[in-house]
Amino acid sequence: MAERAAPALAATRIDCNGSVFAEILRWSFRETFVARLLAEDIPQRVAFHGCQIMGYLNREREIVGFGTIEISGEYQSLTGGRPHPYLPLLAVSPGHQGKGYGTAIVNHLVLLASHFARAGKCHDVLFLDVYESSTAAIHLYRKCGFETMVADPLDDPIERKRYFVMARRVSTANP
Amino acid sequence: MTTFGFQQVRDYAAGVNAELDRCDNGEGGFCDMMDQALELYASRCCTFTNDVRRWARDVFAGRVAFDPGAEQLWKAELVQLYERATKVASMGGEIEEPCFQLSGLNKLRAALWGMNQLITGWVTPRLSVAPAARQGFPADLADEARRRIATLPPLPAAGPPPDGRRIRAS
Repeated sequence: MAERAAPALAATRIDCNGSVFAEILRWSFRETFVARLLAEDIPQRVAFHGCQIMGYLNREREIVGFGTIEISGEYQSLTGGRPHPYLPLLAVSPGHQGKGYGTAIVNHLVLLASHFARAGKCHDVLFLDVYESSTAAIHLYRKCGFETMVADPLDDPIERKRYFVMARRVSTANP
Repeated sequence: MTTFGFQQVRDYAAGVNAELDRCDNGEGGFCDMMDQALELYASRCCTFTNDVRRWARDVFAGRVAFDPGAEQLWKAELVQLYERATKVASMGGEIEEPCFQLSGLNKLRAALWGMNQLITGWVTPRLSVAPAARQGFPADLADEARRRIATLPPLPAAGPPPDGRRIRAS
């Protein structure tokens, strides 16, 4: 079966104090922790960690998803002490799922991470973490080239969930 | 878990203010001294902003307990330093032309921009929902992860993933 063509999207930077972020906060996410991450963690990451929020618009100029990226030190024990790109959160609008937007968004964030690494700002391994219960997200990340860092999920005793740390390389192969 | 408390913030801010007081009362050739003042203000504003951010990141990661009194003091001292430094930058701007360039002025303006971002978009720090900041990566599993990282393939030489290119900047 032929693979579906990726949808064309436009990327735009989002401000935590703007109307687009307020709109995204009103989305009804299937997993409640996504809403909590968005409302609690992301504004802190923007203010204190230099995180960027990207909004993605379709041809009708609707926001169909968002992604976040920062240069982080959270997994630098795995990168020889060097900061690395990290994706704290991304999501597709509940009304626009199943259209290939998730893949397009992840690949765009990979591209941004690749630019950061090529500019010498960080290590060339991009990390994210995903709860074990988010099977669709895990499938998406695998499809986009991410691999789990250990075979079994890790425990998060505070949230009482298990999660995978996933990573992919973002530097290009030598031609 | 240690607490970066009210008293520590107060002592730290008092030290910065005392240093800037000495700078404000300094003597010497006006333009030379002005540039030195701008450089010092820029440096201290950057450091102060970074220290506020570091405290907030420590709260986020659970390395320090959140202290609401400390937060109020950080904010108050940040605003006070911002206003004080803005006056110095304004004075620098007024005399820059006859003195040619004041190299510290751009640095101070950049530092003030960063401070303003922090002040206007203030977020009260709290413990992270996601585990990465709180836990890092377990040391006993790091070797396995490093082995997997070593085998991660690079992006194709042809460039980024095909649908990544279909996203354009708005």
